[in-house]
Amino acid sequence: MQFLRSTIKTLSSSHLINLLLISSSVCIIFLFVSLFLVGSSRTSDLFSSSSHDVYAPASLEHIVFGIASNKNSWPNRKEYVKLWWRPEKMRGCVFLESMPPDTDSLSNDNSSLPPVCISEDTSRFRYTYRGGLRSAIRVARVVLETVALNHSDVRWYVFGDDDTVFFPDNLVKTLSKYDHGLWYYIGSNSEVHEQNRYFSFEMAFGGAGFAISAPLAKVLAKVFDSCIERYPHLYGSDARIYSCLAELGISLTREPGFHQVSIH
Amino acid sequence: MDPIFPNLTTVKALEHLFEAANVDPGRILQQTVCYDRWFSWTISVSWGYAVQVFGRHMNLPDILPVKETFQQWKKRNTQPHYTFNTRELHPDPCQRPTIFFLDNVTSGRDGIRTSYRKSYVNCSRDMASPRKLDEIRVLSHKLELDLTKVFLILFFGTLYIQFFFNAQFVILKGTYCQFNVAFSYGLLEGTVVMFYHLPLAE
Repeated sequence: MQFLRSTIKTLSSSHLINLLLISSSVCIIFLFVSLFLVGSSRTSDLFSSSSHDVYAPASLEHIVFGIASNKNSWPNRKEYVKLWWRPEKMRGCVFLESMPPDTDSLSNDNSSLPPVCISEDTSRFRYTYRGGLRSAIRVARVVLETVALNHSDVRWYVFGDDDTVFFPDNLVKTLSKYDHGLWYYIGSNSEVHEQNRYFSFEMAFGGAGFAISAPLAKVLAKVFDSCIERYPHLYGSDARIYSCLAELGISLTREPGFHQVSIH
Repeated sequence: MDPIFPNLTTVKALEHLFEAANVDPGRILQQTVCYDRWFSWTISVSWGYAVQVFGRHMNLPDILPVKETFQQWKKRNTQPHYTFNTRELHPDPCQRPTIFFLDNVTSGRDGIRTSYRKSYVNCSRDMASPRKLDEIRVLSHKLELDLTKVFLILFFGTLYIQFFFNAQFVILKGTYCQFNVAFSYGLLEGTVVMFYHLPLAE
């Protein structure tokens, strides 16, 4: 303390004022320089409502597909998937409960079709909808099993049936409207009112295809098995997915380009 | 359910549609309505799929709804309620507009040309002039949708249409084509992302 008092006393008032002026101007210059250098990159983050500018443009490489099929329909329905599948750019899997009887036919198409994955056993789950198909549980778990493939650099998981036909360029452009860093569940209602009334207006119908952003898909995958144990009474896979997303607080974002064509 | 193109199997019909979709995915199935002053026709183009020609000028709200060329999945006693505008098909095929289905797609320096051939209906009674046409050609440029355009629902695009009578062509002058994002044949709306087809036994 004494040392401090003596040093203060040795400085004359004019020196003190000079010191103050110099230090304050240095501070002001430093402030301007830092604002100028940092401001150009930071202010866009601060003021823009979406972080689109920060990410590279979306492309097919950022999407992983989960296609639900079964061993009986895959030999025929694979012709539909061939129409839109781009093997060099797309990632994903077709989920069957077991390999089809005629495995030879598969080997010819390996280059133009997605890889085949075998779904896990679902016998431990209950299914109580009278007149419905137990495969709804296996198909619902395609969401979980596609995430479990653990691809890197994924922005969107897109799900559909083996007769869902996609226009890939349009899919990419439509999904790029949304910030994949947020939690999105994107799809559409059925085109028949009665179906919406019966199943749900808040559900993305599976036949039309739907998309879940990667962060949400990872969280959903973690809770999925424990969640679907609470819904044995539901008919379909899309209803199970809708219910579990509702429990996470997510509602449907409707995109008119997804079409569930339940007509003759 | 019939395949979307006549005289083709379900898969071949989809492959045919993809011939156009692969060339211009942003424009596939998008509807454009054009009014011809010379013949007083209304031309409704579902790009890459089909063209309907009406023999007179019609209001857009009468053309945009989809004609019910389909039924609901399970037969019920009640009228089906679709979640989009529909119009019933006229029971007399000759009172319906003349339909032209996609024939082929070519792409070159000058743009993209899609040609549509008349779907034959035996209507000797109705010799309204659109029935005399054999082929319609539509010239367009690739529709590049960027983020701003994806948000737009209605905007103006340019289609140039040529009519062919018995391989001699008549160039449409003064045709006003307004680009609408709408349904055609009960299939799609908006930027076409996905098409769900139920394949029944053929």
